[in-house]
Amino acid sequence: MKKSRKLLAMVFSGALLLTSCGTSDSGGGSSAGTSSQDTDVVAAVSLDFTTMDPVDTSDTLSGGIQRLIMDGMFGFDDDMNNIPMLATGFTANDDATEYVLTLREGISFTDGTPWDAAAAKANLDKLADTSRGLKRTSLLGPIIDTVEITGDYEVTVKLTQPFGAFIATLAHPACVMMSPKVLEKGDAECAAAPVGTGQYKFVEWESGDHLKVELNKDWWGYEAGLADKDSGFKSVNFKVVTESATRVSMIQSGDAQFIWPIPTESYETLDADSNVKVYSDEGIVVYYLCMNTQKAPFDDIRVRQAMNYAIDKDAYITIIRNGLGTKATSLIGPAVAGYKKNEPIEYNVDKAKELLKEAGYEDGFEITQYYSSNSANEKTAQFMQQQLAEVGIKVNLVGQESAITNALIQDCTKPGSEAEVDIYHTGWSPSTGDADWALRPLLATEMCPPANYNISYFANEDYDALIHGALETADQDERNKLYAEAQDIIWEELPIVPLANSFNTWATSTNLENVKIYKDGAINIRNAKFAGQ
Amino acid sequence: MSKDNNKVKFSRFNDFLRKFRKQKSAIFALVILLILVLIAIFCYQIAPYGINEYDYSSVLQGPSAAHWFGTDEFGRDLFSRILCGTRISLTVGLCAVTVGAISGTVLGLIAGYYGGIAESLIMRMCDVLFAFPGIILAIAIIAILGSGMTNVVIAVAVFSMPTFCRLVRSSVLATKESVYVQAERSLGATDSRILFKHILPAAFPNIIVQYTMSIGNSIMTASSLSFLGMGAQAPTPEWGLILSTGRTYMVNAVHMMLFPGLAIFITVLCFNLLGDGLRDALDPKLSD
Repeated sequence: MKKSRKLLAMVFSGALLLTSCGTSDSGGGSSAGTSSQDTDVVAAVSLDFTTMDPVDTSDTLSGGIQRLIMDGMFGFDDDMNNIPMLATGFTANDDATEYVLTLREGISFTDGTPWDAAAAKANLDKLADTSRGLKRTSLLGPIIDTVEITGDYEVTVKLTQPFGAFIATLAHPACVMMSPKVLEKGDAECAAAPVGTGQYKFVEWESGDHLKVELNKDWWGYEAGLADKDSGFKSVNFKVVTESATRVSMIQSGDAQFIWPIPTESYETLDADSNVKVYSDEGIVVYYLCMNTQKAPFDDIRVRQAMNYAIDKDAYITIIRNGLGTKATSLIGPAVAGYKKNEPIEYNVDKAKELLKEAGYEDGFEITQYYSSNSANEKTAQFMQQQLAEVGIKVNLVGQESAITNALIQDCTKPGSEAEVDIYHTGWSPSTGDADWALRPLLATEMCPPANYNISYFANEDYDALIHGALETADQDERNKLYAEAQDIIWEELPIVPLANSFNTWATSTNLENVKIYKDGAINIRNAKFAGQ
Repeated sequence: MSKDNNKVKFSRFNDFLRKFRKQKSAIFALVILLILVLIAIFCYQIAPYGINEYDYSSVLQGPSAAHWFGTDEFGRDLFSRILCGTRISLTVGLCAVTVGAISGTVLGLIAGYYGGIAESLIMRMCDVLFAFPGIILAIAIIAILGSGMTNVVIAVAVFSMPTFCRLVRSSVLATKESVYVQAERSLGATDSRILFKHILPAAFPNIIVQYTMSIGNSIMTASSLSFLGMGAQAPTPEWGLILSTGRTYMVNAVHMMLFPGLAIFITVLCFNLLGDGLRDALDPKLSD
């Protein structure tokens, strides 16, 4: 008797709980429909934010949030084309060593400080100051020589060397403009409480939990026609939800109106849910496999060719990317300026074996693949092991803490011939939208670890000459030509196995519209609004 | 004299058998464990597929006639992988506990029999190890030694050692002062004869019970370590590792978590049931 009463109570409270979930769900929807302007949008993201100082940010998520709070002199439209933002235009001299930037007038930062040449100089000076130890001073630090105020709304930037990618680089999320008042307070303040001219104002950030931004009704962009003013919500609360199953259940239950990214294995589940809209869009992250070209056996081009034939890119896309990707046709995605299409290398085990035989590895060889332990990396590593086993290459897998792996791979101080890395799977998105910020950091000789990300230890003089040549001109046609040649060299020398162009995936509740992800993976809610607004 | 001795031993064993036979659940567990041992020995012969045999066209399929436990994220047969995982889990469990039991017993004998500084040192060291929950201690050891199955064995051995040490010491303390040991000593027997002929056998029933119970526990800990990414490396078909991978597919492929979880559950349960049965059968205080 007692037992059955307990059971009854349990069933009853369970039912209560269910109905209360139901009401909160529909309540959220209807309040949005009736356009109460106080509504919060809750967004669940998979990673924590690292810092709010754009000059010290190396992750796309934090950079994306900063882009909501602060505008750059140049920025992107939804398709990642370069558009003028706080600058209205520029002129450059012929050899791309001097740029005159004209600034937009009549704009203030959200703390009341006016946006003018002095503010622009303060920001550019910070970007050029390599002595502060901020990560992204590597972008423009070695390039900018002097910044001069040549008018109330005009600055002249002299460069140390010709740099044709200057305007594209100014659109990088690291180059957004912060209020000089905050800059004066020092780097710690910039990292904690940013103030910009942006569409959103920073409200609060609790590390590991959430970051909240509020709409800035006085944003200059509304009048400039960049976005529509009535979004139907007041603020956006980005919650850090690392467990992917929790993110999925949050969007299904209505606790979040937007999640990023969708765990690939839950894509179909969410697609079938009528309360959720899923999106996928080709991004500019290219996934590839590095091979250490300074070390045997990968110092032999035939072995590198064999590796390219041995890995089935279609299977990679189906199994690893859950079908959300296309075969890589370059080291950069089609949406990146300077992209040149090459034909993906076919999957051909016989050809791979033949090449290995020619190179003297008829019986294969044994290599080690390091990876940072998480379920996605572990799956990819096993996939490589299976594929390469087919041609007789034995891959030993070593999964470790990401700090240990990074120390071994990215921060390795040894020359390529002594580095531990044999092969390494990774992906890269050039957040400037320009070929330079992929082709140079990933394969130029001076970019070998620990300087940057040339994990293939690729050293090719012709390639370096083309990449540096393209920086010495501001003529985009000339630059495209040089980058095309550089991409042809990659296809001939094959220091990498190009695998796939990724898709960005995200999901929103059906009543939230126009939430997008930029091609580089950053969140774009410039035009987001509730349905019916 | 020796004939009598044998008779005593024989009747003691008979007594044990008689009591053990009444422990129905322990016998059931023993049968299952024997089957598991057979599986562990012949797993590669009986597994219908190779453990690394992938088929990208049938990934994450539910249980079927072709794949009894379904397939995993690479289309590998889960039944074959779990069968072969038996060998890994049983080996790790047995090895770790054997190492822990031997070292713990030796240290316990020394501490109990000789006393003094040796006893203080050994027992305080055990107290330190006891201060940490088993899994935390194992994680700390793995953090120092690095991941991998050998280090898992070492980690589990270290944390199971102090239990044996304490158990043996208390048993030694009780037997050391008994009349028959005193008599043997007055007859001029050496320390080693007393230790291994009289004191250790008295502690044996306790050691056996603890040994059986610890195996279950250590299989669980080893699987937990692999689940946390500190034990077996992919693509080893270790149960904890398969379970950890399955977590990602919890919503759309339940079988990926269900079957490795069941395998761990059944094995650990059987060892614990067997341990319980042995304890009841070996306890002289429990009469039938």
